[in-house]
Amino acid sequence: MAVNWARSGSPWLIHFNTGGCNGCDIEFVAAITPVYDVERFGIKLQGSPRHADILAVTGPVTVQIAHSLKRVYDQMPSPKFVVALGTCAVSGAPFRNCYCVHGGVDSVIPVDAYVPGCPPKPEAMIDGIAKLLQKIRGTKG
Amino acid sequence: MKFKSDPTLVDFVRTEVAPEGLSFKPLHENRVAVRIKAEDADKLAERFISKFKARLIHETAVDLEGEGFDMIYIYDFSKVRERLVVVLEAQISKDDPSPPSVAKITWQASWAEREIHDLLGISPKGTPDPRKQFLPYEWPNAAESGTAPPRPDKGPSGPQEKWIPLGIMPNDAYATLIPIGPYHPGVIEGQTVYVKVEGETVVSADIKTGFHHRGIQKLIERRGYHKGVFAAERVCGICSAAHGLTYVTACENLYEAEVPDRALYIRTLLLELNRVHSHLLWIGVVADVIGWKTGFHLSWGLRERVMDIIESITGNRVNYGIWRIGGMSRDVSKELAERALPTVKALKAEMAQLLPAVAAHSVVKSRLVGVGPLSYADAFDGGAVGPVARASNWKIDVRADNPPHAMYDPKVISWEVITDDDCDTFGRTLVRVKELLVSSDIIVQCLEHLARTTGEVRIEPKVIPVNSEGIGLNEAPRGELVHYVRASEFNMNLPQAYRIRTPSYRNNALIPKMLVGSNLADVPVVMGSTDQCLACTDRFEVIRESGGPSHSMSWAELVALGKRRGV
Repeated sequence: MAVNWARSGSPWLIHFNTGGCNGCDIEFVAAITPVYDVERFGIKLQGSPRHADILAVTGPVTVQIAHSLKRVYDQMPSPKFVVALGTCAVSGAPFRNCYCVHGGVDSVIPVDAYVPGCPPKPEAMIDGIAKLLQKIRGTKG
Repeated sequence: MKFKSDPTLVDFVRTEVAPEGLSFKPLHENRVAVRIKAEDADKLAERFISKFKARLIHETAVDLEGEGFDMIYIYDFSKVRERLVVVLEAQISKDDPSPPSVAKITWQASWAEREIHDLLGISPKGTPDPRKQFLPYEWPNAAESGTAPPRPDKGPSGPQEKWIPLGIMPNDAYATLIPIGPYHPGVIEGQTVYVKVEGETVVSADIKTGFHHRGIQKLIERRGYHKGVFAAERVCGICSAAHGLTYVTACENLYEAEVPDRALYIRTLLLELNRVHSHLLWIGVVADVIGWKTGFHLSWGLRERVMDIIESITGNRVNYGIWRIGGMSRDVSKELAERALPTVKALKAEMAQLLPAVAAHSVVKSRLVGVGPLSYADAFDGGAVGPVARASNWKIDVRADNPPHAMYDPKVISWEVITDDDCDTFGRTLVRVKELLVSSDIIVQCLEHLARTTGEVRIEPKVIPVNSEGIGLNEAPRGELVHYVRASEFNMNLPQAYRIRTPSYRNNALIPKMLVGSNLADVPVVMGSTDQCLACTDRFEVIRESGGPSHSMSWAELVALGKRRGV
């Protein structure tokens, strides 16, 4: 319990674009900047998957990048959590069933939190991540 | 306000530009379509480029089902005649889809020829680089037509074929191949750049794109003209305004469209707001890459205020959804325009401070000056567009040469094209920072006009005639953006073909050229300096006709869902 509480205090984030249009990505980066300031939750953007706790994925997973996503997920230390940001990452959205698109993120790796929207506003992303932190802490929001 | 079209253009093209043409058809907005024999394509390309100093905008192909393919070559003749664009069309059969290569004459067509081989299986004769562009190298056949033409056994070997692993004996390992990507924390999007280094210096580089290949072109072809607006915006989330505007311009060129002046002002306003937010974003990203975190937070802080204005005008932050064929879906009220004016003016004053902050910052200069050089000759030959070309002292701006609508006439809105002669990443930074100020001037002029006047913002579109073609040209934040649409002969609502050529497509092709000779540590900066947008570059997708099982909800299920959500 105490470990979970401590863990939820400083989640390190890694961001992976699996073939999105950049719309979610710029909103995600905007959430890190001082106006939205996601750092007040102790969240820090991290470059290496080996240092990260939460994988934030944007975009429909294309066939070419699916194996990279799996590999980055495998490189993360347990326990690890995945947030799917944007409708494309949630389900594949209009790109579903394309010959070059694998599907939503959950067709490759397990997902803990879904944030729909095209793109979701930074507030919605922060809300999704905050809900995930409550889940990690073991309490319901 | 409309452009005056020039009735003598067709004669000019027939007599002087392309006497080989079989038939000549004037399109809307000073564009002329010329049907030629496929074997003349390279001869014409050579004459256009050497004699007329024309520029190849795009080469693409259209699948005509049973009748073969139509090769499309779009040339910019704006230096010869005002706003003249010549579209060459040549029909080729499906049995032997190998027209002469244009890429051996102008290197700019190289990526385009790889792309049409990927999508349609057309292999131009003598193309310098026949590898896959957007599909994986091992993909079996053409994506759209399904045919699998014989491929040459061995193309020119990219550096990935003779790479030397890192753990080799030091005496042999004079060169090391470092693959960067598809995931790399320095570059947000997926791509693989193979960098061959000797010591710290890059000796050759190669780029493989296609990780964002999700294919909006085919999606638009299946959605129809009016729904396509929303798909077109989602080509790229950063320059969504540019794609929306270019899409509606291309569709409006299919018929004699009338667009109210007020709508054109709103379009200009949104496009420039979009440019400001995109350039601020870029400055932030490059500042982040060179380790100047203060610059990152400064420019992203300014950007949020631009986003607030965009949100109050359109209701959305990223994909605006207010573009319509024939106008706009929302008006900008007088109150809104008056409220936005002081914000924009204050923002301009703060953005003006970015210029000395960048130009006089010794750390910024030491990381950017001389990094990623691109001479004027290389930029011209390689077909650079946008701020990358302008930083190589090439005065090229679609808003001046081939404006999307009449509002960019200097008599209506005063503005200027920014160029710089640094020919490096520092020059690209200066161009973008100065363009911020030019764009905010345009925004102020648009807002003042919108606050002063009232009027219609949309005229219902007419029926789109069959057999018409439209070209939308526009200056996106990253450079020249082209949408080509051809109306279907059989279906009034669906286009037969939709083709997009994005600015990143051209500039990304030049990245290997810029990387050679630079330091390994500078690679992310050089890659970032083109403001590369892989979502734009890899924009395709094909929806399988027999899709997965579809699920539709009954009314009871919908009501139950609404209750569960507490609606």
